[in-house]
Formats: sequence, structure tokens, C-alpha cells
Amino acid sequence: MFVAMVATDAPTYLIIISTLLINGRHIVYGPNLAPYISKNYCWLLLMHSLTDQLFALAHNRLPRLVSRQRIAWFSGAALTSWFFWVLGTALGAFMGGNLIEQLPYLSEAMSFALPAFFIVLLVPQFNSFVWFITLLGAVSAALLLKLLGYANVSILFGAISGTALYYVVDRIKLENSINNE
Amino acid sequence: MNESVWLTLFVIAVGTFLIRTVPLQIMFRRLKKSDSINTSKQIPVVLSIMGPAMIAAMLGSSLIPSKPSFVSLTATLAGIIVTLATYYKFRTLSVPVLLGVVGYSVVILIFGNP
Repeated sequence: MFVAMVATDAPTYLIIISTLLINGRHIVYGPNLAPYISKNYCWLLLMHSLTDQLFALAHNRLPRLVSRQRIAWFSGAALTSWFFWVLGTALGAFMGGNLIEQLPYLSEAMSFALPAFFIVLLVPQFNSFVWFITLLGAVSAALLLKLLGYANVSILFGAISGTALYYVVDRIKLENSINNE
Repeated sequence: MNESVWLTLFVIAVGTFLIRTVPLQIMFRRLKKSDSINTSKQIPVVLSIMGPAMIAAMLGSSLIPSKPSFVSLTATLAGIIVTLATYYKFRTLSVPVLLGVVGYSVVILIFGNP
């Protein structure tokens, strides 16, 4: 989105505001990882690399590591993802359309790697009825918003929809259990 | 790239860094404080729900192919089925992703690139 706005000569303030609004979803990532970090100042520097994918992986992996392994693991994951991000961007910049023309199936197939990765990380979370509804609701809301053309807000509003469903289902369960007593 | 683009990038980088770091530090200090007075170490419920909900929303958003068509949507469905089946068989991270991509690719190869 940043590249598209720069390429179309959008005003600087609009580029900054739009990008930061979209990145605003990262505000919930830090608190979810707070129980697993230490007072080491390396964590401050490592937060620069806290992307969506790294958060999803860290949320899954950090609880299973002993405390002294976490910085090393996070650093390795961050550097690896950065390396391939820079490599992929450089390949795209230098080879441009030639890469897509020569390997059309490869680029199309690799586009499924991201949703497959999220599926694998999310499946363990479907461990109760309320989480099933919450996560399915978030997936569906984001999918629908993107289909309707609201790609930029699909993730944030999908997450908000899922969270709202959690409270609704939890409340219904509570009322049912009170009525049954 | 001209200077204004570099400046824009710098401002966005600083802003994004603060978005990621400040909430983390606030929550970390809060947990340390509650730990020191022996209360339970928990982040607010709404944040603990929004984390996985955000991942789920990213999944929903990423499921839409860049060029939606019958072929790409069928390939996506095939990829999802293969990924889930492989996960339940092997319970690992990398093998289901790899085989999910293979499953997606097979449909694309059979029906042609959309």
C-alpha cells in the first residue's frame, strides 16, 4: 500500500497517516507477548521486527520455550524473515515481470503459503465452542470485508468482530448455566 | 527515491516501532508489578482474545486469491483441505504448509493458471 501511494504521488501526510492506521493492528501484539519477555533491552530492539507473521509464530512458540531461549529464538526468526523479505523484494525489483513470466505457477502457488501458515498456527486455538465461533467469525468477517473491497480495514474489523462474538457467546453460555441451576 | 520518501519512511518506521513497543512495555511493567505483589499474572481478557482474533482475521483476508476465479478458489479450497489433513496427521508446522502449497499447485497445474 505504501508503494502504491508513493507511486501515485499521494500527499506525504496521507501516506504516513494511512500506513500508521493500517499498522495500528500491531498494538495488540506487544501485550500478548509481554508475559514471555524479560527485562533484557534486546527485546526493545527486537520489537522493530514484530510483524504479523512473527507475532503469530511467537505467540505459538514462546510459551513452549524456557526463558533463556526466547531471545535467541526470536532473534533467529526475525533475522530469517527479514532476510527472505529483503531477498524477495530485491528479486522482484531487479527481475520485475520477467520472474512472473518465467515462473508463473511458482509465484501463484507460493501465494498460498501465507494462509497455510496461518491455518496451522490457528488450528490449536479451536479448542472450545466459544473460540470456534470467535475465530470463525473473525475469519469470515475479514474475508467478507476484503471481498466487498474494504481490504485495508478487513483485518482490524475482522478481529473486532471475532472479539465481539466471544463476549456474546460467553454471555449466552453464562445465562444458560444460570438458568439451568 | 527522493529525500521526502526517505523522510516518510523514517517517520513511518518510528511510528510503527512505537506502536509495537510502547504497549509491550506498559503491559510488561504491569505484569511485573502485579507479580511483585503476588497477584495473578494476566493480561486483560480483551487483549488475550484480540491476539488470536487478529491472526484469524489475517487468515480470512489472505484466503482471497490475488486473481479470484473458479480455478484459484478451487485451488484455495484444495490447499485448505490438504493443510488441515496434513496437520492432523503430523502435528507439525512446516509439513502442512509445504503440502498445502503442493495441493494448491496441483489444482493450478491441472486447470491452468488463472
